[in-house]
Amino acid sequence: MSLARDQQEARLFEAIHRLPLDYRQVMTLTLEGMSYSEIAEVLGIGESNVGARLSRARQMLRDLLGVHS
Amino acid sequence: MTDDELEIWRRQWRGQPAVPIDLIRKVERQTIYMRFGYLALFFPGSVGVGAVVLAVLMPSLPTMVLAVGVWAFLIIIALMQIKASKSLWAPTTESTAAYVDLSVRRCRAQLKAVRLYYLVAPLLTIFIMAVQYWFLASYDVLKTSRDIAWMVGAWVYASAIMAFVGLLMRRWGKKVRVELSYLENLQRRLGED
Repeated sequence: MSLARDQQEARLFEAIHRLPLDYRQVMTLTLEGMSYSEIAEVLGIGESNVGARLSRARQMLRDLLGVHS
Repeated sequence: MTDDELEIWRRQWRGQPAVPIDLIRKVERQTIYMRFGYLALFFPGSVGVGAVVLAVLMPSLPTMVLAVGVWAFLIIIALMQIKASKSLWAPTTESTAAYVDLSVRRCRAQLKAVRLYYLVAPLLTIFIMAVQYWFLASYDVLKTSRDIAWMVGAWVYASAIMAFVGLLMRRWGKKVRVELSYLENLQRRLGED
């Protein structure tokens, strides 16, 4: 593992940690491979809410990483 | 953002190794020591305040030279400390390699601080001794051998303190060198992985 190689991963890691808690939870669970229904069950929210939060989290993450859509 | 990008994020997220907690704790401990390093400036700072007080109470060329000289040393030391610790407060990224890299750079900065002490402390001590002699001679108080003995005693005392701190710095430098050697080996191993 070199500094250059892990820099991108670390940037993502940092950006995710800078997300507000509600969005961070949904994003990390998604990245861990959980489905909408599983995330909804874990967090005790509706599936539509999971979708809305994930969409917003993606946008915030994109902004934090400087990714232009 | 496309789902391909989400997939890339997923792979990056899973590939991110956790930074060992003892390494994080070690770096956090070093950060606290660095803050204490700034507090350590209090001692030379109090010498500077004393020099200014002396210049105000007993205005003369030697006391003014002493105040200006001591503050010049203090400003140089403070600026060097700020410069040395500029990029050493936090790792560049949240990764093991970055934490190790930060620790290595901190060790090198500490060794620089030890070398700086060996250079600055004798210069500052000699400067203060010389101005003290100038000050006492200008007031014509070095008349008897007893007066001279007091002055020499003060010089010996100041030199002994400087030498004692120098020994402590030497011991600290040795510890830092051992730590640096370990960290550089670790850094090489991480680079090979």
